[in-house]
Amino acid sequence: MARIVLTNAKVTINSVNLSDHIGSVILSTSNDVVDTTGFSSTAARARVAGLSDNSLTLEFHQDYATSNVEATIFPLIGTTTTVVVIPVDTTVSATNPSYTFTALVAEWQPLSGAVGELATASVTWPISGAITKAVA
Amino acid sequence: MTYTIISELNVCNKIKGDTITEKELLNAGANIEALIAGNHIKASGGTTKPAIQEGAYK
Repeated sequence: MARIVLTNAKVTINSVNLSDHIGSVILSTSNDVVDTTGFSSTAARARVAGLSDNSLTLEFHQDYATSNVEATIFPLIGTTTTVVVIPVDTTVSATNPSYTFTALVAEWQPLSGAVGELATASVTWPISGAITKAVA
Repeated sequence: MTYTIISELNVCNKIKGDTITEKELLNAGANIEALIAGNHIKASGGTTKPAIQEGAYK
């Protein structure tokens, strides 16, 4: 099992490959923790997993050019869209799985940055439904 | 219905000038209206408005 340094991750939003304008990607999944502790001799809490809650955090490099970042995301605000994330932009396999899901474009930053800095847009979008992992 | 890729970016793994069907886009889960609004694709073959026969009432 090889460690991986992210250099060529692929992020596709609404079928558009925006990878070269994304500097950071975090795909998170967690589950509610449901307490099932009953009286017992163990004197310890028992728990089971509840609903899962998934989200996607991206840092875009803003670009207002035709059919680029702003033009792609702005029409999607307030809607759900299909997103595909792959660690390395090459053939999907057991060692390079793809993750497909439906994200709610719940926030967007058309303009964000300080003087002398790169204009970016940092967003966290909740995921609606499950994340599908594919290995082929 | 088919569309032509006009984006500089890859859309459904296709590049500028390629054609793509509505079915391919929908199978990929794409929001076609948003892709058109973002100048990623345009309908191929021009208008789909039916031609009006000469002499017919408009």
